[in-house]
Amino acid sequence: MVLEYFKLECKRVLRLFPKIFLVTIFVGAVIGGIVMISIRREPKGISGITVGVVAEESDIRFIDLGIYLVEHTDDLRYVCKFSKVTEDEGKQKLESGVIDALLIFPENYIKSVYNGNEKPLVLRFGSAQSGISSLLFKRLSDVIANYMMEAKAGVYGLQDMYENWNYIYKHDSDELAERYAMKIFSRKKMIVEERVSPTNNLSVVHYYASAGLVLIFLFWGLNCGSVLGVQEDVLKTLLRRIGLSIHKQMLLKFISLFLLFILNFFFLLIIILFLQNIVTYFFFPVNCIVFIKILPAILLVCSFILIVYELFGDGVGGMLFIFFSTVIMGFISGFFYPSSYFPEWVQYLGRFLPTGVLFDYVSACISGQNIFAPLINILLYTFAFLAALLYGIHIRLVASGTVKLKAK
Amino acid sequence: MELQVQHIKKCYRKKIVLEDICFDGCSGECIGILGANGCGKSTLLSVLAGVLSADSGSFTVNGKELLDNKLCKKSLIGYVPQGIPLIEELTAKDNLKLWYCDSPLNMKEELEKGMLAMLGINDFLNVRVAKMSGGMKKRLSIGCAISYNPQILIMDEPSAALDLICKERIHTYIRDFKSRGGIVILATHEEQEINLCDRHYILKNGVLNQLSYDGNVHMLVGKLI
Repeated sequence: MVLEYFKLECKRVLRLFPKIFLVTIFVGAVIGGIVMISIRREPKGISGITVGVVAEESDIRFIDLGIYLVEHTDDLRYVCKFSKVTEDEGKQKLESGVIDALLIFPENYIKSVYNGNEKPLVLRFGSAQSGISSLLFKRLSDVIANYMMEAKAGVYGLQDMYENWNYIYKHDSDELAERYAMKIFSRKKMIVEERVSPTNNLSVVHYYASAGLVLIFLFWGLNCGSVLGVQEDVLKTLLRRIGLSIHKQMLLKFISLFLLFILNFFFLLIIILFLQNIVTYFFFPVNCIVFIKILPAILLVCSFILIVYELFGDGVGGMLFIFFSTVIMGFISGFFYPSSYFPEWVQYLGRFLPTGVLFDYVSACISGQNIFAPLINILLYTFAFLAALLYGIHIRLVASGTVKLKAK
Repeated sequence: MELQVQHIKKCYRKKIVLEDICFDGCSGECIGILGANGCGKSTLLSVLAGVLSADSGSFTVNGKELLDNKLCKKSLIGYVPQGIPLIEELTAKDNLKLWYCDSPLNMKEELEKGMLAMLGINDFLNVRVAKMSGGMKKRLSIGCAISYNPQILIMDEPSAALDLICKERIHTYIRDFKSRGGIVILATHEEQEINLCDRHYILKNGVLNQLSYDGNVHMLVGKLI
């Protein structure tokens, strides 16, 4: 009975294969296209501006700290680089275009700050300017000016305090001011440097490919309305009556769905490999071994799809839920926008959603990392979904009145 | 063969659907269960068929309790529900294979000269269920229900919404089943099927009462209200 049911179930899903495969191609083409365009539009590197810095030896300690600070602000992190030069060197490089601007610190600048004899900084621009560079320079000027003002305010405030309270200086006032200025500049302790990589240390290609593949897998579930949506409860109960429990029916459905999924993607892979030889621009090389390694992820996808359709009991409800849940979970897991920009609790949640678990495994397969731990997660989640499905069915059977009779 | 149903009770949450249902039957009889829509006829048949569990009561055949006995039920009782218990994407033949794979009967023989031939299933053996008419589906459902060569046939409105030819085919089958010593328990609203029954019961407010029926259908209407 079990074998016969399984054979017929496979026969049933195979009858629907042509229609499902066409939709798979469509979904794969749309998402694959979006992924390819995203990868090719990702900037190779952001070219910013280079600023030469001229300063005296006595001020260089402060200047180094200041440069470090300015280079690591969010506004300028990727767009501004500094290099120390002499004045003549700086002039030459500016004229030849090697550097875009020259920042000149006057003689004894730091001392002049805490003596109150302010000397202005000089920011000299090169001849070739573009609109964006001008904006960057403006930003650079603002940042430097802000730091300078804060440093000055701190120093002057301290001096005023000592004057007002007639404190006896334990240290030389210059030294005290120097200390305060150092504090302002050396904000390393106040700034927690985080290495934020939008692509979680994966290359851009691997990141987008993994996210795209997970989306294709989950959106494949939209196809399954015709396979799983129309379910005759009366047939299920009659089969249960003659010894094929609903749990066994569900497990056999799961296996037949898994086989259908593999068949779909096997044929899709053949098409991609064939087209790859003809139109190389649109495809990046597909590794068949990687594809085989990814197959266990389909177990989780199938269990998720099965539980959704069983929960809703009809095709339309299941399809809508799969669509919206995939989009929302994908967003939280960082498929559309780097998750590293989300609050920590959202990032934490994203890792535990099915999309996060699938992404971890697929990206590990694609990037050649260790797949053992992600694979365990995949299997655990699959088991959990199937267990929830079977338990849910049991609860439904109890609620519908199929409880054990205590015969009199 | 003797059948006895005693004190069957069934509740859905706090609502009593069946209360103290009692009746009996013997070989060659057709028992008609009548009642208004939603009175619990399908529930009663589902309980007897083993699809639903009763809260209390007993259902014995020749003294053997069946309500908790799935194996016995499978071989003794054939159940034709109101819905269509078929796989839409497959053919009649494939659907029959599912039911006859463990059956003591030989599907091929039945198709050639047995009950399946009598139901005329050969005419549409290789047609997909999705393409079948209502009559074809119902005949195929009956064909699946009798796969274990049952002695009791429980049918829930078997000829509802079918054409006259299909109805006549099903009624002929029921007469034949009775004549071979089987018991038919039939829930129906159809006049012809009511006339086919040897005994009639009305289910009303969860209680089953026997009815003496003289062939006057209009008289039944007053009893149902």
